[in-house]
Amino acid sequence: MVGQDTPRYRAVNWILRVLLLLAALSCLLPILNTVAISFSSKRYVNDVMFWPKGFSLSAYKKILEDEQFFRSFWVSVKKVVVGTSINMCLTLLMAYPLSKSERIFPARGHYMRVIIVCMLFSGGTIPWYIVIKELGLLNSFWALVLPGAVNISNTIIMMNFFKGLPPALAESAAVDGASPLQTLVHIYIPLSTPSIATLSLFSIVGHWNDYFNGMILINDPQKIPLQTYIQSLVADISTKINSMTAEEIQAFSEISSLNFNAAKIVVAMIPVMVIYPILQKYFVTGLVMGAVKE
Amino acid sequence: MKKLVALFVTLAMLLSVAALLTGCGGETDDVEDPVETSGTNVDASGEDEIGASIDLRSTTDTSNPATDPYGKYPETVTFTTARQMDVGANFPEGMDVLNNPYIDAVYEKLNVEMDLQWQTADYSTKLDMCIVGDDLPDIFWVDNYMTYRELLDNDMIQPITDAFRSCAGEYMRDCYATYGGDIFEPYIEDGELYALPATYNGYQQCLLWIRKDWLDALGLEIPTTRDELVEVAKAFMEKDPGGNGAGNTIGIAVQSTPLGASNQNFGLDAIMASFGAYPQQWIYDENGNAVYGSITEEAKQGLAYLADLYRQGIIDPQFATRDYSDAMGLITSGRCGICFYSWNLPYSASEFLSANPTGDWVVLEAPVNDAGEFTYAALRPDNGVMCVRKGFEHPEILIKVLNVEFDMWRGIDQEGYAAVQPLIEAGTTWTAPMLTGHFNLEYNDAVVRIGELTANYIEKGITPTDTTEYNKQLCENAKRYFDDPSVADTEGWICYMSRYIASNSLKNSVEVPVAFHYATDGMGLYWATLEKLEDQYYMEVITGSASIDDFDSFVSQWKDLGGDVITDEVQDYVDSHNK
Amino acid sequence: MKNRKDQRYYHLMLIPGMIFLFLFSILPMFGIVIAFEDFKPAKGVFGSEWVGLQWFEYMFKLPDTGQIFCNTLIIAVAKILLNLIVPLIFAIMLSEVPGKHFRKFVQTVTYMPHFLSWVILAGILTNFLSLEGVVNSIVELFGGDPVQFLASNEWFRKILVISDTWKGFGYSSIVYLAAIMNIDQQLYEAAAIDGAGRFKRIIHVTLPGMLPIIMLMLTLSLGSVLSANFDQVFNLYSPVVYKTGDIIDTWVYRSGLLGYQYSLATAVGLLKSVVSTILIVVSYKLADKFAGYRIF
Repeated sequence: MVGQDTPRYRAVNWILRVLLLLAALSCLLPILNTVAISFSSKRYVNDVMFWPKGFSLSAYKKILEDEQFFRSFWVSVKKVVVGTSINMCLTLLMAYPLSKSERIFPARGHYMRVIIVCMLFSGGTIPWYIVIKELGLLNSFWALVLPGAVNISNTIIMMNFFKGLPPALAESAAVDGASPLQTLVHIYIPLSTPSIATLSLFSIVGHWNDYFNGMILINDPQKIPLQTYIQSLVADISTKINSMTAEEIQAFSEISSLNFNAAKIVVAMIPVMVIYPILQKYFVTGLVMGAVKE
Repeated sequence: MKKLVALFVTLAMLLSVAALLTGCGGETDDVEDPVETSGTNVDASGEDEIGASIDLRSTTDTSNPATDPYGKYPETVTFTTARQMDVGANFPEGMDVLNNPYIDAVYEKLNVEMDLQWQTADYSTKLDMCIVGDDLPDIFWVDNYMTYRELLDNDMIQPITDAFRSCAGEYMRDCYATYGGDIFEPYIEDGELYALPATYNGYQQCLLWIRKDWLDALGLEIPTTRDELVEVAKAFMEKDPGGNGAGNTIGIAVQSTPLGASNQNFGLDAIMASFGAYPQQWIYDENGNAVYGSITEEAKQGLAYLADLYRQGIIDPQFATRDYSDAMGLITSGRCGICFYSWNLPYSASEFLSANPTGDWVVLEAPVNDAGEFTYAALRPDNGVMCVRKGFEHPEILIKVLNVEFDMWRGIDQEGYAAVQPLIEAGTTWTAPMLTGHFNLEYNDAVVRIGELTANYIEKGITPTDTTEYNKQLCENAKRYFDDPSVADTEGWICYMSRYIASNSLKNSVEVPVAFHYATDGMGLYWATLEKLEDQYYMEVITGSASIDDFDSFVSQWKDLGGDVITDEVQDYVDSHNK
Repeated sequence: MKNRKDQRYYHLMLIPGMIFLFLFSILPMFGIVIAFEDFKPAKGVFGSEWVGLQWFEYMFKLPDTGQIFCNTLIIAVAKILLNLIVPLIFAIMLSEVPGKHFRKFVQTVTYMPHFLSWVILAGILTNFLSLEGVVNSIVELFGGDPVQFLASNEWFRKILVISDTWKGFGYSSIVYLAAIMNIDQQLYEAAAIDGAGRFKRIIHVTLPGMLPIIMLMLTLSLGSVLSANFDQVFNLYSPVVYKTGDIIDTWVYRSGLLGYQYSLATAVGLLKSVVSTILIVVSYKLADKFAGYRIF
């Protein structure tokens, strides 16, 4: 491109680099702090900043011995894989017809209104729980994925990305005799990889971080996802301490030891950390857009 | 009259137990329940050792398993239950919540099986869902008084009076007797007991903990009044005996919610109490009427004093943003040498010793009031209840299971105690294997009893005999540290500091009776507003952004916003329960 | 244009999603009646006493209603704006900086704080902002007086807004990056041929290309105008900063401490939904009228 080699251009690049690096560093600090605590010995956890004090792997050893941690980890992986697949299938299936104009798909407005109402209003936890109970989903794996099967904001974002694609694409496909489903799969999806990668990431992260469903809908600790497990660990000791016996307090300060919890948080973060760099390769500029336009 | 009798009986109980503990030996624990043979047990003396306002005397009839504390059912009976999940319970290999010695013993001895319906970390929400869905377990834990009231008002739980009378075992009756009946009152309605309260034993009021090595280094006297305490705190801050560097020593470690209950650790209630002020407690005024402790004239004086302490920098200037673990950090790292904490401080400060090998504490019942007494507001004797669903045919199972469990856990049943050893050795959280989860049964004076054992062992060399292995171990640990502090083993230090030093520093405290520990209907609507008004005003006065001169307008605002309504409700409760 | 066969396809594609919405969103909406009842779990949704608008009246009659609503609005609006602008600027900066690896590194690192819960971040923040903390050391280095940020009514809201933006900007920027990637490269080339500099290119190509997604994100975030992030405020506030930091959700939480107030919570939820609906409908109309763009 023109003008990329001017000194001004390069100077701006350097300013950008410095600013971005500062932003990145500020984000790295709390992570470093957590990692440093997880590698510190229990004695020093209150003084640790960014470097472990009294280096110790005991917290990680403890995790390796914690069966519940691994069981829950596995439940979470299943939840993410199944949940995200369902989310993305439904998102794409719904976003495509909704991205059509009312001229092409007159019923669109009705669907859209229903979806918006569902996005904005909710009946609260109790009726939601009753419905799930009546459907017989309580304490089953499906209770973790089906209630959130439709992700409305993802659907709306996807729909808007589809709207940005030239309508001529669908029209020419229709002339060739392709059904809407074929058009979606063979033309729209390949052209939308950055947005699909983005929304998949949102969905993965959403499923990974959700702890509430596991807390309320699952009865059996064998089946709870990892974040529900971690949430129950990070309980606030000061609210409980007044009703505990001395032995309980001691046991509690054992299990709630900061380094152990930090290690759990670090291990729980790894999967979602790894996913992003993998998905980044779908963020490729421009794609074939130019080629499509006539 | 009833109260007086109860008091006498309790005293007698205490004396007899104390006699037992000091080693009169010989007779085992059948102090008050002579009838163990079959047949109806009509408590011969006619005395009700429990002292509740209804008759809870034993009606054991061992000819029928439903009225026999340890009777075995001819056919297996299953009860459903639910529990708060115990995270990190440390079960030994091959054991878990559903498979452990307690489960086995309950099955073998009673022919009873547990069907655990659910476990979650958010127990109260899940329980609400079950209430809506009419899906309650047979036997379940309720720790929220309002939820209990609702279950009662809607006829969802059944009375357990008969079950208690016929099946309460000796240990259970002994324990409740030490609470003098008060523990049952909130759960008695129309002459029936509707829930079994879990005991929360007494002597948990915060004491004054001061670094003894710092006092010695500066040649200071042990303080007894609040002004002397202030002088000590000032000396600690100015002369820095801990070597923290100038200006780095904190006067008194305090956390962000400093007031509210006499067992509020890192709180300031003890200073308020020295003025006769008991904020956030429903105490009695001079006429015997219930009054809210935050709006009294004494509270005004106490609050003004606290504001002055903050202004002088004696209260940690950053207390408003310190949570419990931050305050604990100040203590364990040696930055602060004064705090108010229950007898069990060392249990959660186990890092202190390794960071301060020469550190030493005095534990005091201080500051005292003008009459020289150290007072504290009575604590709620229970911390939740077990309820039995209406329609469940065997309410007595709750009581019987507790008999079996606690006999094992407390070592009354020797064989059972041996069976649970693997759990103790693995360091399993004691509540996790129990069928009844967090329900505790403990003598009200358990802390001082053990304190006495350790004192006798350390000072007089009397080896504890009539007690559990666990308590013997506590004595051994404490003595080990006493004999040679230089070894500095943490377990020894914990037992020495808390079980010996602190537990024997509880003798002169004067308990101020509290009229009401629970919640009224009106609180549901008004309490959040009143609490905010109070918390905000108190904090602003202490930190200097509001004036103590506005106290009277705070009080009238508090009354207008619903305080008066709630005071009336509390008074109604007091009138109806203290006839 | 209308093609009957396609119509059937469109309906078929929407049906699975609509079934799920019906089951898990529409069906539970009967629970909204709880807002008009004195709901008691034991009496059930249809057995509890009907109290009409009592909860709404209660909400507006409280002595500190004004304060709570003001706090919520101020904090939420500031967060909405910063959560829009900062990730947007960040995404544009990131797309302008050369070096694929550098970009990837910055992206990955800035996305991390999103995964730390507020319980943990609050601990770290309290540390950083304490009198001995990093921030006050810098303040003192420049000759300022140390400040107790989290106990100061002057600073508390600012801290909330800044830390919330900081936690989320990397994560939120992803959707803008995707939007930038979707912009037709030919437009950039055309701009370059016209001799437009970097700044002009951003103004004339990048921003217009992102406009739909910006408007969409803004509209969607309007739904949270009465929610100022409970987890964050709850973990950072204390009675000293109730004046500036107490929000609707923390107040509902405290009301429920003695026994969860389902009716009050549902009434507050309903109020939020109504306000969000109004705002979203208005912004939809505005976007349609002035930008000619239909978000939904």
